[in-house]
Amino acid sequence: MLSRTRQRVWLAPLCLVAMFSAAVAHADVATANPIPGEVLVLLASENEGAIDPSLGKLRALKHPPFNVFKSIKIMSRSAVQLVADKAVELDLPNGRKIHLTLLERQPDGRTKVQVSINRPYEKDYLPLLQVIARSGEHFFVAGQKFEGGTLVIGVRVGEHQKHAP
Amino acid sequence: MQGAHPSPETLQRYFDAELAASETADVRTHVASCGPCSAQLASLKRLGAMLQMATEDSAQAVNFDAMFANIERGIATDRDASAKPAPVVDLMSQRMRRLSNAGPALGALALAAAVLLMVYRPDVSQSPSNEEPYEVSASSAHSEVVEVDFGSNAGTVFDISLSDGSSNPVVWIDDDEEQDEPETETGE
Repeated sequence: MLSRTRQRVWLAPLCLVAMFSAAVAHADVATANPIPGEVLVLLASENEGAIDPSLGKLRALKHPPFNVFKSIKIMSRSAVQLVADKAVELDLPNGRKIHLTLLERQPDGRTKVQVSINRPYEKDYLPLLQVIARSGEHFFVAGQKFEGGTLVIGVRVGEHQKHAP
Repeated sequence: MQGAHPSPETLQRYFDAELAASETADVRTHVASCGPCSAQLASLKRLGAMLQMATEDSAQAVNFDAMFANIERGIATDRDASAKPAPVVDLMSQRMRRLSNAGPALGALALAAAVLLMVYRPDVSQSPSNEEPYEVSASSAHSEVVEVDFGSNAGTVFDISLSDGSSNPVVWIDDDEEQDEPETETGE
């Protein structure tokens, strides 16, 4: 005979296991799924001009191949939330669209993302780019001509880290 | 009418409403006129209520310590209260104590299982085709381009390494056309 009292004694820890597991699973889903990021669209030119002061922290712009630019202005700065296998689409000033997709999280904390830049339904410019990005570090896609300058797209996946530019 | 005391087992089954109707009536009659058995039944009721309360409490806030302390306290109280009527209560107290002693162990097991679930739970966003070995040290891993298709354009991949150890890959793609310009000049 398994009395009700005894059943309750066994039931309590089992209930707690279920609750704890559910809480852990919920916390994991809530924290692990969306990764914050940023897509920065810059218009750089070799003509004399100003470099947007807010770009001072982006030290990569002071190095080749970007150090030839004498003026850089911010066309857009978009915060994005990356969810696995769900593309984020943003409009570029030249009519193309950039698609950013989170492919996977690496065990070392980096994130594999896929980028493509094209006109809708075409593959004219950048059909595919895959980058394993360190959290907080930018990677850049540059070279598109626009309004006499060059578009520089900086993509950051994850929050800024200590060594982020 | 006193008669023979029902066994602890019978009393427990009576409390759990597991006895046949005739047996239930006999025990009920006996308990009504027997102090020790009545006390024993009362202690069973209190224990049941406490366990239920502990379960409900734990459903609101996971607190193993409070729950088992509550049970232990209840058992100690019952043991003291039923020490006089003697054998029946004593046996039951020991039984319940053994069960409650197993509680923390079960709780610990439960926690261990939950932690294992948490540690070994597959990452929902991780591709099943990921065959890279697990790397513990993340400090040396920088951003890197792993695949690029320039399409019909020419392109170059740079890597800007900064003095602070960070690394910024740059994919430079020559653009043959300038779009959305009023006066488009081709041949860029």
